[in-house]
Amino acid sequence: MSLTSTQKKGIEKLGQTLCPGNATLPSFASSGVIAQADRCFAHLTPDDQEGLGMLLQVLGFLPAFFARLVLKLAGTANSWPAFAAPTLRLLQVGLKGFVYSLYYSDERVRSLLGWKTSITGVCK
Amino acid sequence: MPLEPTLFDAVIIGSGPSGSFIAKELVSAGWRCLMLEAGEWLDRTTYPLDEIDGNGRLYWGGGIELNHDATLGLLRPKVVGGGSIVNQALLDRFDDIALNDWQKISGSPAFSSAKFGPHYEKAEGELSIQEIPKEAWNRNSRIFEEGFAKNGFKCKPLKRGQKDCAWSEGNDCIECLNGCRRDSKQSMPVTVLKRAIGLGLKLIPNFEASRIEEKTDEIWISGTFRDGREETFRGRTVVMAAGAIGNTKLLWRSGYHNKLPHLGKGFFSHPQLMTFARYDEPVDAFRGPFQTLKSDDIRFREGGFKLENVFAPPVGLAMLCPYTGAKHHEWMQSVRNLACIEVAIRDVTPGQMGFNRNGKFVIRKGMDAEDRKRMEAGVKAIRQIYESTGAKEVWIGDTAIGLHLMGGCAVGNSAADSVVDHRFRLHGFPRIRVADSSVFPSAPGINPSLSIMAMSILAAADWIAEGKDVKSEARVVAN
Repeated sequence: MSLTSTQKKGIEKLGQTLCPGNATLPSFASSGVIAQADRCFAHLTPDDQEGLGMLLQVLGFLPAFFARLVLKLAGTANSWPAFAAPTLRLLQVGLKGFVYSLYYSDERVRSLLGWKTSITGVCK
Repeated sequence: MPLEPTLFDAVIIGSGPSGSFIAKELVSAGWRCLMLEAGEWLDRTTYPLDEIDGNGRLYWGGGIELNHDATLGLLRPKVVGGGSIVNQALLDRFDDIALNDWQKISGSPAFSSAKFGPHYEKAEGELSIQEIPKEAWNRNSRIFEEGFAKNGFKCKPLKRGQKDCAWSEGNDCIECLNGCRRDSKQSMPVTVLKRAIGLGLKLIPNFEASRIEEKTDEIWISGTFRDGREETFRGRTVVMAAGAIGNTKLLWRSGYHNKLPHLGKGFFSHPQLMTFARYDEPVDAFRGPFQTLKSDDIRFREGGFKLENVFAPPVGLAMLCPYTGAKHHEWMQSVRNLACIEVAIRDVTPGQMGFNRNGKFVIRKGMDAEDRKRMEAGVKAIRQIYESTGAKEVWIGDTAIGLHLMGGCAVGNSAADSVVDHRFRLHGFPRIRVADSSVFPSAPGINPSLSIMAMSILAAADWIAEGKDVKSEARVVAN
């Protein structure tokens, strides 16, 4: 299952909020990691694909402000009553999980963090 | 739905430590066994190379599953070898505190150090078990040891299933969290499962069992392959080794919740928090063997928590990072200077699992005041460790993770208080057997993998003794 271009715009808006970049690290948009979005999306359960897909579609249409608003709201989950808190927590885990999976799986980003790990004797 | 013509002596659902050890015992005794596994059959040449595929391909739920109110993340492996592929192969024996507690709750005399001892020895004999030599420790381990010493706490090396890790060549164990590409980690596919297959076990991956149904002389296990094909397999007995959630789901779908009211109850997960501290000098907690030491302090044990040094790869770290935006980047860029200690509690608040009216599987699991007290006591000790070793800033995570998923099919005296009898068979349904973490009657507060192996050996020995006639009958029918 592939994401639509509008859904990918939604991811980029979320990504820019969570990973804006700085003097060392690239911004989400300039990192090129959006190219891995379909691969990441394919690992989700059908229910999660449906829910996340709908949200991304909406965010893709709306101005970036709304992506920031959704993340801000999700970040306040613990201060909401029980009827809303679980949904907001779920949003937080889902949205952050998706964006960070794309961004921090990228070899260039990891290298810029100083993350150097290796293993020898492996089969290629 | 197509029906597999062969009638097996045992169909084993799940290929983690329990399924693998049981399979090896049964096929060694001449049983004809089939193992079904929902995950992929990977090896050192095919394990995922990044966290996107690692989380997505090796775990249920695309990487993480959540409890009813999304306050607890649960990591449930889905791959041939189960948890032994993605864990750190920590192999601890249970102490008398855990085993006596189980004996008291379950009424089973099997839960004692004396009874478990020979089975531990047999399980340990199947694997290469080592401690990490001090010369290989990274600075995170040294901070952990120093902090313990300065505060009068006791710690000791973890025992790990591994061989030939060759850290002096620059190997970093964190690379093996998606499967060990050196085959150094003593995962089931390179040890016990491999031997079981060599002895005749048939393993079918990518098949998710969705229903078991008892017939007059056999049990049918139906399900679906990843490509959508449906199939039904047949066994004289079935061994449920799909873990706390997997076993509960399958039994519930098959209607056993109506006959066994305790099904899905008593779920525990050793909820843990990861904590971080920043030091002026690089810690490089992700280099070399990143998990080497554990608390060994009776005050901690009695307080219901344990500490271990640990770390996580970048995506995991980002999820645990307390900040977003620019500050998030800054925190992530300090990764080389971060130390990390986890606190895991011996949780006493039992959770409950089951399908709701909408057909959704729900895991109701929280932490009551006692659990929170245990967590706070662990966090307090961690703060002392960090502060006494020169940490500049400390972060205590607020996302609890459950890595040890236990219960749901607890062992006990009768169906009124449990699901499985003292011989690890479902109450009233003796051809359905379970001996994995789902039978745990409480949280032991100790890494469970080795005890799952020992318990599986114990259970299999009993089934073999009981089932000699069953086996020969099955042969006649199958042939």
